[in-house]
Amino acid sequence: MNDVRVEFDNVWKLFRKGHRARSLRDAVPAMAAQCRNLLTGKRVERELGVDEFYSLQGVSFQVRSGECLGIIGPNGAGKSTMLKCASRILRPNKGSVRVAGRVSALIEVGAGFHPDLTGRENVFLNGTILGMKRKEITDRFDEIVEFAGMRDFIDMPVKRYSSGMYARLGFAVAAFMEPDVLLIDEVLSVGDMAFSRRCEKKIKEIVSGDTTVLFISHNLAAVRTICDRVIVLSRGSVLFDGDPDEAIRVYHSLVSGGEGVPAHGHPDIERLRFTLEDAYGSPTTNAEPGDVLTLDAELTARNAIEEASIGFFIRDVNDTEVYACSMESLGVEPMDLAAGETLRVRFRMSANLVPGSYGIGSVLHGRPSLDRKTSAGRICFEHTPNRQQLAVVGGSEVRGSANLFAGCIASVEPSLSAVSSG
Amino acid sequence: MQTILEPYRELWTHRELLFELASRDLRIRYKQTLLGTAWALFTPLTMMLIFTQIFARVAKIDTGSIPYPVFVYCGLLPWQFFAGSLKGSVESLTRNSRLVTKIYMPREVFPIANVLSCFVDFMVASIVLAGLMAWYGLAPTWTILFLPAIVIVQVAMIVGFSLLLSMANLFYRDVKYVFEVVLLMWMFATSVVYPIHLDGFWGKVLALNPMTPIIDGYRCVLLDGRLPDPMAFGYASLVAVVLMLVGFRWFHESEYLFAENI
Repeated sequence: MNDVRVEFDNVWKLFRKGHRARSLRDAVPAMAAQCRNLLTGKRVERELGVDEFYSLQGVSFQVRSGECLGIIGPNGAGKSTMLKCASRILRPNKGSVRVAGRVSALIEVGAGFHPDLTGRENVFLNGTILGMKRKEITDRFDEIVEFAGMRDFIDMPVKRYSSGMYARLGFAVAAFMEPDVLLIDEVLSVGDMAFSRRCEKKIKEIVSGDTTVLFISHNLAAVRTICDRVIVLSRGSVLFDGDPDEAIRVYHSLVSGGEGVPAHGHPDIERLRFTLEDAYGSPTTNAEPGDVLTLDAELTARNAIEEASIGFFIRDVNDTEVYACSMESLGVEPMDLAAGETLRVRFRMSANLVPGSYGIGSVLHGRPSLDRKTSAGRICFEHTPNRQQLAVVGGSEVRGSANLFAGCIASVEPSLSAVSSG
Repeated sequence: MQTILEPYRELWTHRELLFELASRDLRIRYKQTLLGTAWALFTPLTMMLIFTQIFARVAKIDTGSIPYPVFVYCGLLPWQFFAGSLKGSVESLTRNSRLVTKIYMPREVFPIANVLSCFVDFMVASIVLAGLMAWYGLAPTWTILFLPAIVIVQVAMIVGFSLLLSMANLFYRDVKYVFEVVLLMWMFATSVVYPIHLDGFWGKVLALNPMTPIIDGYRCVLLDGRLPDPMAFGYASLVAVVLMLVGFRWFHESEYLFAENI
C-alpha cells in the first residue's frame, strides 16, 4: 500500500483582515460610490496587500495510505488553515489539494450537538453531520456509548451534561468513524486524565490501521509517540518534513528564538540572559531523560539592586510546575549589585523528566533601587515563564511529571494451594 | 451538464444528513412546547380568526360562493409555508456557523432541511383546511388531482429563494431585517387575505408577483373545482424553475467562500 492519499501541491491561501462590507448598510453606499466613480470616469486603484496576508505560502507534501503525519508549529503558522484546505472547507487561492477517499475531521468535538436533544439523538445527529451513514451509527452505537462511559446519561438532554461529558461523547462519536483520511486538530485535551489517555489510545489504534491521519497538536509528547513523520510549519511554509524527534528539535529552536532576551519587566534590569547548556557546555534546547544540564544565568543591573538572587522554574505543557528553585533555596547567599554590575549564576541539574516539552522561567528577587522608597522588604521583581524551551526526547515511554527511572523485574509464582498439596 | 447536476448529486448522497437536520428542527420545535405538534396549527388558525373579523365583518370582502374563513385559510396555509420557510432559511447558514466553519458538507443541506421541516408543518396545518371544508360542505372535485403540481411548483420556488437568501444573509447580515419588511409587503401584494383583480397599471405590476398564481391555484383546485389559469400558473412555474436552477448553481459556486466570510 504505497498510494498517495493526501497531496498538497504548492498551496497558497490568502486571507483578508476584515475590510469587506459586512452589511447592506455599508455595502450599498460603497456600491453607489463605485457607480459614481464609474460614471464620472474617475479611476480608483484597488488597494492590495495592506490587509491581505497569505496564511499558506506554497505548501507541498504528500501523505501515503496508512501514514500518520504530525503538523506542529507556533500559533498562526497556518496549521488549521491547512487542515481546512484538506477537508474542503477552504479552497486554496493557488495550487491544488487532492484527497482520495472518505475524509473525516476530528476538529471540534461536539460541534453539531444541540443542547435540547438527548445524548442518543445527538449521537445520531452528530454522526450524520460527520459523514456517517445511519446504519453505521446504529451498528456502533453501543461501542460509542461504552467508550464515552455515558450509559446512564444517554437519554438525558445534553444541556444538562457537564462540559467533560459533552466533550467525551463528542469525541466518542467522531472516533468511531472509519474514514480513509482522518484530520485531527488539537482534540486530545478533552475530559479528565483517564479519558484523554483513552483518547490517545484510540487514536493510536486508528493510526495503526489503514487510515491516513493528519494530526495537529501542541502536545509534542503525543505527536512523537503517534506520528511516523512530522511537518514543522512556520508562517505558512514548511520548515521541516521528516523524522519526529528531529522535527521537535527544529520546532524548539524556532520558538525559543535565540539568547539575550531583554528583560521587559523591571527598569532596574539592564539585561537578563538564560542559556541552557549540555554536559559539554554547548547551548541546547533538548535533552534525553537524566542528562546533565547547566542553566547559565546573567543579570546585569542598570541601577543598584540589593540582595539580588536568581531562581528558575520549569513548567510542562499543561503549565504545571515540575520544579522551582533559587540561589537561596540551594544555599547561596543573595548578593548586592552596583549599577552596571553583572550577577552570574550557574545551575547544574539532571533532567529527571519524562519525555515532553517544558518551559524554563526566570525569577528575580531583591531590593531594586526603584522600589526601595516604597517597600521595605525584598520583593520578587521579575517572573517570566518560558524564557527558555526544553524538549526532553528519547528514553523509555513513561509519563507523569517526574522521572523516577523505575526498573522492573517480574516473575510468576506458583499458586499456594499447589505448593501445600505438593 | 455535469456541473449543473453536481449540486443535486451531492445533495442526494447526503440525503440522510438532510433528513436528520430536518428532524432535528422539528423535534426541537415541538419538544419544549405544551401544545406539541399543535403549534403548527397555531399561527394559521389565529391569523384566520383575525382576518375573518376584519374582512368578513368589517370590510365585507366579496369572496363569491366560498365562505370567507375557508377562503382566507386556504390562502394563509400556503403563504405561511412560504413565509415561514424563508424566515427560517435566511438565517439557516448563520445559525449553523460553527458547522459551516468546522466541518465539510454540502452547505445546501441547511436551507433545504429547513424547507423540509416547514413542509411537515404545512402538512399538519392542512388537516384544518380539510376540517373547514367539511364543516362548510365543500367537497373537492377531480381537480384535486392537480394539487401535487401546485405543491411542487411552490416547493421549487421556496428552495430557490431559500438558497439565495441564506447566502445573501451570510455575506450581509442585515438582509434578514430587510427581508422581514419585504415579506410583510409581499403578503398584501398577494391574494392571501383578499382576492386580487389584475386590472389597470397596478394590476399589471401585481401580476409580476409569482405567489398570487400559486395561492389562487390552491383555491381553484380545492374550492372552485376548476384548473388554475394556465397563463398565470405557467408564469409562476417558469419563475420557480429558474429560481431553483439559479439558486442551486450560484450557491454551489460560492460555497467555498462561506467558511471565511461567515
